[in-house]
Amino acid sequence: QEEEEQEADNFMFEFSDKPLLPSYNLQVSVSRAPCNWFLFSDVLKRLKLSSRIFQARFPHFEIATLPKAEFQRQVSLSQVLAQDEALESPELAPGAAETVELVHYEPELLQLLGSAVEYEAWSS
Amino acid sequence: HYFRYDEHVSLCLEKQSSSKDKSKAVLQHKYVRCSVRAQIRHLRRVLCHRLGLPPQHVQILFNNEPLPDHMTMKQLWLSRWFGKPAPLLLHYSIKDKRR
Repeated sequence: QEEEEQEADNFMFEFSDKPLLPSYNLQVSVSRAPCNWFLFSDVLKRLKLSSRIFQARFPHFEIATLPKAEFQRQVSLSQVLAQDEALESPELAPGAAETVELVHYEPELLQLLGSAVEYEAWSS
Repeated sequence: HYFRYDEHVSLCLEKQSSSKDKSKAVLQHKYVRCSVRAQIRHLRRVLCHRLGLPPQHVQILFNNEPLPDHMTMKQLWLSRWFGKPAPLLLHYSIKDKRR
């Protein structure tokens, strides 16, 4: 619990030598505050894994599904995403499936993607 | 504070080339993501840490203009980068110790 409190008070910085996969701040259900997600397809492509293998190997990472229209609606509200760029992913092209699969943005997943994570206290 | 629920910005940090700067410190991981509520001072401290420099030795610039310590990433994005694709391009310079 102490660790969680500390985490809540700190900024997390992700560092990578490769361009970062886009992350999206989304509310995936009404009972839950918005938080950050990757498109599952982006993560699988970067790791060169199939969905089946990823889920078998890393069952603890949270996967969620959102209707595509709802995903696009929430992304369009962001002031810090360029809209055309945000909708570039093949998964979001017209004619693709009507839902998008997401994977929760968390430090352990970032490390798997090759990023380093650092914390900095707000008050520092 | 619960910063981990915050929206993110994605940055790319390039070293400002200067003939006066003799330091060899260059950031290996130049793509950075953080909360929209993080401030320039937080980014500066994290950079110093990663570059193995004492605090206050790094300056963060946008278009050759040093950015104020208390500016948040959201203010930075909306005032300098609104509508542009990620990542936001920043420069950093390492201060000359003799000054």
